[in-house]
Amino acid sequence: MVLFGETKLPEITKKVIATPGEKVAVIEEFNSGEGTYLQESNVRSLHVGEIRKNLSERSINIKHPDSKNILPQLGDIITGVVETAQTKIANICIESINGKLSKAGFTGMLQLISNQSSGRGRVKRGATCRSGDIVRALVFSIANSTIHLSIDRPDLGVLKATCSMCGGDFVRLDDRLKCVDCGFIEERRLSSEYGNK
Amino acid sequence: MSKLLNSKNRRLDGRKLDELRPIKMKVGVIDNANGSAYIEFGRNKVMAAVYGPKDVHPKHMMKTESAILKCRYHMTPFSTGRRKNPAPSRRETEISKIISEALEPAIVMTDYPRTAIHVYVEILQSDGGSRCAGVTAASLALADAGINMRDLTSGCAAGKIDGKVALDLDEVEDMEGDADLPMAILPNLEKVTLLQLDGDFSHKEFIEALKLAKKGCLKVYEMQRNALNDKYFGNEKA
Repeated sequence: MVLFGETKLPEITKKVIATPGEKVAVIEEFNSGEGTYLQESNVRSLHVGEIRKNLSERSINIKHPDSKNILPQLGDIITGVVETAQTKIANICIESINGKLSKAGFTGMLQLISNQSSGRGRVKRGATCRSGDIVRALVFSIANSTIHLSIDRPDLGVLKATCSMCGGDFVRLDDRLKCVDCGFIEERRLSSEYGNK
Repeated sequence: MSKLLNSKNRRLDGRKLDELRPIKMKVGVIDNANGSAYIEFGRNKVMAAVYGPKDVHPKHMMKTESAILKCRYHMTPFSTGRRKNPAPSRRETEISKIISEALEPAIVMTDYPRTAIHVYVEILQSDGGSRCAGVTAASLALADAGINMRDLTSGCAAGKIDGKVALDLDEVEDMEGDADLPMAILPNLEKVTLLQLDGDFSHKEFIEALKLAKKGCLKVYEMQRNALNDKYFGNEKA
């Protein structure tokens, strides 16, 4: 019995809008670009969006109207809260991706070794960040489906921290922080934008 | 047995045998969800919401190479004539599973490793064929969430009433009729992702019902496309 193949779906090659699964081109015409996939010899849409043809690369792309950036990708800048900070790594709960709020609750891994060396090959405990700090970091790898973060840039690092002794606010003293309430001094790997709202 | 067809082969609600109930679809009805859709399939009223891809809890359920799909089909206490116990029933557990299995082939799960996609299907009012309406609504909500999908999933049922094959049975036809065949397809990829049968069909009737259900699914698919275009492009011609 032939269930399919009798009713033809409408031809859509001239359309400018595509919904998931729609045929947007054949492989002889265009390569499969962003937001598309190849099924046999047909290029089909992966999501709702506008069809954009790149004639120089002969590729076809589907641009989502909302551009929902739902997973942290390589090169993204994220802002998050430090969940746990250990000697070599810290786990960051990602709260925003490229300035867009993310409620997905992804956790990234911040490696502290390269940024934390005291010059004699030693690692200074807790000098980079502590749990509860708000940090800005770069996604430099998503190998093994783990979000690897880096703060190895002047604008990256701790954006906001509170005193680990009394919970009070800090004032910045060059690379160190001083608590306005108890006067306790702590070290962090601070972003150049520390304290900016 | 009550008579479900009149002498002109019209059904109790005046429909022809191959006619769908009136359908309304709206995408993006819930602000707090990543994607959502509302469907009226005759007197069925179905709300679907999608959260994710998000972190997996509990962690041991995480798949390193792909996402996991968690689906919940639930009927509200006021969805039926007699109050329904809001606790999940065996039927709801089964339908949650089959909706999940109907949607999974449409989603590119490998694009979201170590994540979970949560689909909630809430039946606000039920009138037969709510699982097909649920699959259709859930697929729209997934598309609204911007999740990569190979195709939309469209659902529609066929059945047998008074010995004749009919499309899209309502509750009375479902209860009093001879058979019910819910079906969901990926219309562009020409694949069946859900097929159940409750009742008796001869081989010829089964083939006829399959073809009729497919025809209904394709009509539902056209409406899904229009609903998505309405939301994102303001009814611009696709």
